[in-house]
Amino acid sequence: MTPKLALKSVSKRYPGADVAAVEGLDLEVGAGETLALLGPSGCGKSTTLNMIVGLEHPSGGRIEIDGRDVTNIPAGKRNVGLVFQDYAVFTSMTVRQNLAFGLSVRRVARAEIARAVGEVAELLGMSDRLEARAGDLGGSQMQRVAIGRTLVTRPAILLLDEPLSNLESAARLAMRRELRRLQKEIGLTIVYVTHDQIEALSLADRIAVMQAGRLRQVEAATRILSRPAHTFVASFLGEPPMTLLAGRLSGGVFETGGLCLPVRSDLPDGRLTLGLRPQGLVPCGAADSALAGTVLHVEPRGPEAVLTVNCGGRKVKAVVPPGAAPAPGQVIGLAVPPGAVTAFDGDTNLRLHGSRITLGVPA
Amino acid sequence: MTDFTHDPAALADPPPRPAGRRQRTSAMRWLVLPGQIISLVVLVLPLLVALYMSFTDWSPTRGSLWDARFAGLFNYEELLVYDTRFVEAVIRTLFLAVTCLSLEFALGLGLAVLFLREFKGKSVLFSAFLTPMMILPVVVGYTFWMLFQSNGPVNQILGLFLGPEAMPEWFRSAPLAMIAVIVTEVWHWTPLFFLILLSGLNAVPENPVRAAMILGASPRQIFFRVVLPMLKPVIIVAFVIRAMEIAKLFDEVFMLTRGGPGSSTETVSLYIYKLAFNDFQLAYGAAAAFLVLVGTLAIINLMLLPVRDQLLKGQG
Amino acid sequence: MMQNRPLTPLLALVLAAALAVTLFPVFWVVMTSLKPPTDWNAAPAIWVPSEPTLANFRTLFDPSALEAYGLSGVSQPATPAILGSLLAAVLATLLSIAIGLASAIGLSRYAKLSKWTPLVILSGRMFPPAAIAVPFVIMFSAVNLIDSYAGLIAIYVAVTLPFSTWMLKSFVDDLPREIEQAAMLDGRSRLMAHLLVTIPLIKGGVFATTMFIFILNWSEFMFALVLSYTSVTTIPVQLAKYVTATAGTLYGVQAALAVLAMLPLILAGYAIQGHLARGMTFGAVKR
Repeated sequence: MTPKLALKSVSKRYPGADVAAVEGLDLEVGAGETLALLGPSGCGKSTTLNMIVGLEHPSGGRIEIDGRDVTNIPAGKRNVGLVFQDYAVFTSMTVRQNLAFGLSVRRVARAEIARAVGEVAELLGMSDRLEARAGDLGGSQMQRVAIGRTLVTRPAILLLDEPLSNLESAARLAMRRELRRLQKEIGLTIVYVTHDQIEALSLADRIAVMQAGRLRQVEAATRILSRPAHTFVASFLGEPPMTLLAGRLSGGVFETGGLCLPVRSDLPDGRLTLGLRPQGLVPCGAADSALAGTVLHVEPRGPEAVLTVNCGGRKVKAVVPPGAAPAPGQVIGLAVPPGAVTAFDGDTNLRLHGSRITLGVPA
Repeated sequence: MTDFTHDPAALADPPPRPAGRRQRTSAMRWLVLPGQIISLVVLVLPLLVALYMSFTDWSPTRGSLWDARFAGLFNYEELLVYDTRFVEAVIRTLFLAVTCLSLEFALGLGLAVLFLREFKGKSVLFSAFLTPMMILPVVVGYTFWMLFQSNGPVNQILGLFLGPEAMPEWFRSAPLAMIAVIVTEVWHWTPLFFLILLSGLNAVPENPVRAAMILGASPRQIFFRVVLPMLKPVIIVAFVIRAMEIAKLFDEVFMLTRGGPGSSTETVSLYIYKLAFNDFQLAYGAAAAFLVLVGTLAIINLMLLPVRDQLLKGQG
Repeated sequence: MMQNRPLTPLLALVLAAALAVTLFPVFWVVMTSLKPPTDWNAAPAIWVPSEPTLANFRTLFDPSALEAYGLSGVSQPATPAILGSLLAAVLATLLSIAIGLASAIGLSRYAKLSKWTPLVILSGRMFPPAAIAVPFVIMFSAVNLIDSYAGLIAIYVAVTLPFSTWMLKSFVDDLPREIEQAAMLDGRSRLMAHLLVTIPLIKGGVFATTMFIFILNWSEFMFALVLSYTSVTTIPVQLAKYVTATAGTLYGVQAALAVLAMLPLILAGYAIQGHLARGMTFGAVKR
């Protein structure tokens, strides 16, 4: 089955810039799928979005929608919809005129426009606000108009730029539900751009993480937290994110800064980065693990508490039930079960697959 | 001009103590007092005198204004019913307003759109295009009077392209004199529209334009259906300001044609001036002025209606 | 929006034509001011004087300056008009700014404006000057202010006050209140806070408004025309008199006065071009 959207080694360089904004991006989005493009600001996700809708032209590579090469097709003819972060509704028009805009500029028959507008207004629960001036609406209403305005044109793909970040938290929850309902009801293919991992995790089927213009990982939302493919993903996702220890493995000892840890694994000697998942670490007696140190502080977070432990100069985070939290200043050990540690290549920063590591058990 | 209500909370510093409130209110009173006094004495008082005068048959040759006979609405009736010269001047002024404002708007918009393009020397050209609106009306009137002389450069250029028969006496023909007035006004004030529209265009947010682009609108559709409606407030402001100036149009016409030939280019302001200072029909002239004021107020208010709230928000 | 597209040759041509039309009248009046009397009324018209001279400008101050060309018809020097314009425009501008500044701060910081305020302010500018001029003549005759600079200045202040108040208010509005409040908490009085904090912070705006009001006052014609007889003259009135008295035949001298009249305005206008829109629209258009 052809993917709904395919980016094939797409790149974007701005004249005069040293670094490419987007480099060698390969990405496929299936029909009816919801994909979140996640990354910190400046990672190239907005540039990617603009290239998909046609507001910017890639410097290299191809963009395909429904198997058709649209790389050189102008923005208005790609059959994609974009909802802007600031909604960008036409404030001087009524809601009805906003919804009708996409069809009326294509000179669709008036009856057909009325029907389509009615349908979308119904879908978004805005039938009674059609004659209101769009500029007078509140934030989430404006966003409905912005979404509806694109839905009326029946886009192959709906793209949303930071769809929830301008909303208050209550409206944000409602809109999140609303988007999921829409996606189910009309089987839309949706691409979100966001810097907020909670938003990405709660809305998307799959998450594509970008950093410095490159795609670091595409993974199902349910698995990406436990299976980061790149140190950046490991350090960006999760709350708190993994503790990354960059160091060297030689002769069964992993040395990172002033910290030496015994390691049992099938990994070859050399540069290595280990990621410790805070949720996986278990406090124990100081003598029971090589990973031990003074508790620097304890941050209670309702159902859990986050410990920061100074292990030989490296700050390691661990999540524990609040009742089990040690006091700051106490010296504890942190047991590392095999599932809690992920190994990354010290040079490429990519995850090393298939290696079982046991860490920290005193020899 | 002092139509405001006190807002004790305007400069809120908590908690609002009675002493602080009184202090704030008195601060405002003292600050606006000089402006109020001078407006009252120099604007409102003469206006009231003029209003009273317009109901009398006073003329300076007949002694003091306060001894003049009360004439009721006689002056107003005379103006509206019998004075064809006044009615014609009103119609002519309206015609000038419509013609000049449309031309100024169209030309100013065209020029502003050109300035959205990228080219060298933009800031110098921007200043150059603003030059006309900085020049005083009397000089503008005088300059165009020179340009439109029968042996002046306008005729010289016309003759070059259209032959010697296209070198008319501009100020001896009613329609030609009118054209000269319109050209002068449009030259003088197109820069204002250019300036206001360009700053409006530059302030148009990018995303609605891009949204329209993605929805499939052509550049022309984007301009007329998305961009122009967003400029509506500034366009109305520009029209209001210019409409007010046309209602008072005097200096340029005085220098160009003195209202001639005959009264064929006479604006209401020029007519009122002639009534008062050439014919000394002061009471009659005052009545005419009040009719013009009421008419202008009504028109301006209608024009402002759709944007008044927005303007207030912007100012308040 | 829609920026960064280059100018096509056709559009460049349109722009050049528009520029020519815009600048030609200015070019013409400047050239005429430099023409010797023989070039004044030549047919066909002479665009650039063959022997440019400053005699026209000298004539404004010394009516005998054109005698070398066989002309002694310029009856009056323009010196009183130039001094009169300077006196009236400068004093009226300073007063209008001082009073306007107080009103602007009062209105911006302490008053809540009703929705009718803009219209009331605007209506001050709507009344035909010819109509206020009549009661002025009557009132000023009664208090001996007719044909006096004091009378003219009073009118100029009143007429420009809505402009100065509203334009200055738009600058005060742009200023966060917290800055003044901080000064007030330091124990200064409200007045001192405004004098020492508010006004210095908007000095750019005060300068722009001053220039703008100066342009308005310097340009004013009708009040000066009807309220001046012998002792008060301004440049616009003098220009009109030159044209009337000589049936417009003294082209060069008139143009020289016109150039003198517009020169300060163009300089002032260029200096504050970023604020012209704000001034003309009573602060509604901010940039």
